[in-house]
Amino acid sequence: MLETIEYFVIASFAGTLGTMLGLGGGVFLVPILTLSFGVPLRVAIAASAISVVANSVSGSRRYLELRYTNLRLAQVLLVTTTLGALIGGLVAVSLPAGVLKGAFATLLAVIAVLMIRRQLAIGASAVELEPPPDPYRLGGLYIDGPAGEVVRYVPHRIRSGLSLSTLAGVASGMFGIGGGPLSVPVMNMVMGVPLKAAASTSAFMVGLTASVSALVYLSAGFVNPAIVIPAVFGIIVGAHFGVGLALRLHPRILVVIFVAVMSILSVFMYLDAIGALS
Amino acid sequence: MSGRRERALERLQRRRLTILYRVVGRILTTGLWFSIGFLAIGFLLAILQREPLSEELTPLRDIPSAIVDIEPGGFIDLGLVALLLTPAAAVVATLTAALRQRDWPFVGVGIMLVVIILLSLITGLI
Repeated sequence: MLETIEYFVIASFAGTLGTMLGLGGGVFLVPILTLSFGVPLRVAIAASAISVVANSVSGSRRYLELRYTNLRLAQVLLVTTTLGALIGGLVAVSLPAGVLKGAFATLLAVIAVLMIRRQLAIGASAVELEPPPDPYRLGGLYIDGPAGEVVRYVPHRIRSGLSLSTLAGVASGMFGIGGGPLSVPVMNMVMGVPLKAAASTSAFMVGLTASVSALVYLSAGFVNPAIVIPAVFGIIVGAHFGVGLALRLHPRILVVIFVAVMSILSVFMYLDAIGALS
Repeated sequence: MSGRRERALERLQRRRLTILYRVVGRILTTGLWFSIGFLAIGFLLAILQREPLSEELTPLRDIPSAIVDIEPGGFIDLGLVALLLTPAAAVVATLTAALRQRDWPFVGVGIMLVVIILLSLITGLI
């Protein structure tokens, strides 16, 4: 029972931090479970993937109400993302644990760099006033801010977006983190989707992406209910607090916290991968 | 096409999209409460029966009998399966909407997604 409570507390912490940064809790949950509790990496990834589904389903409902989510764009990108997740899941269950840990450590470092770039890019990528033609009807609009400003956008570079979404899917499938940390920058920086719409659309997408890979882990016997249940409830509770805290903290402080935590976790994952911690 | 007809079509499409967003939102809400409810029942049963939470899943074919026997594992498994299938249900809803609107490119996209989900189900549930 004590372990269940510990898993719940850790998942709540991961959910709070992940939601504050718009990344979901999986990015933090997997390394903490592996490094602090000695949970086998694939079992931690499976728990994270299922928690990501719960978090996505829970969070997406609100975004759908506000119409921030672009359902048509999500569906198109999901084709390559879910395919990537399926491949990533199958690869992860067959890779040696050390290699998987090394790859995860690299991913944490890449996400930290992407987060810094995203912070630097805020304000640089303004929404186009005259959207380009939209032959596939992938454009969206939503009402933003207290002034009720209507934001219209048309995603461009669809092919690049599809290719990069495959990578996001593979990462999600291999590491159980959802595709958010990668698909949000892809939509925002490459496809020109406003950050709010990109984050909401990604939140919807990661539910399906993570469920596809979770089914692969389930078949391979890596789903441990004793870890999954407290993780699911913890992530949902943590996400609730994360939303509130994110509104109170300055974005730059959030990024500093994020980069510090990710760097520490990345170094420890590398050390664990080469057996220096055992 | 006259301007009036074009505007009417646009209004219709907007109304259909609003309905779709509402339906998808309801599917996610129902799936979430259903799965969390079963996970919570399984967890509470384990506490009441003074059993530690199982470290392995009950095989899917044994879920109905486990639920009849009020075993925590049956409820937990059902909750997990419901959770994992909730996003897929949302995709089916969008596919149905595309079919109704004869939006063939999106029917194709929806079918591709359903095929990938089925592939993962085949990998996952057999």
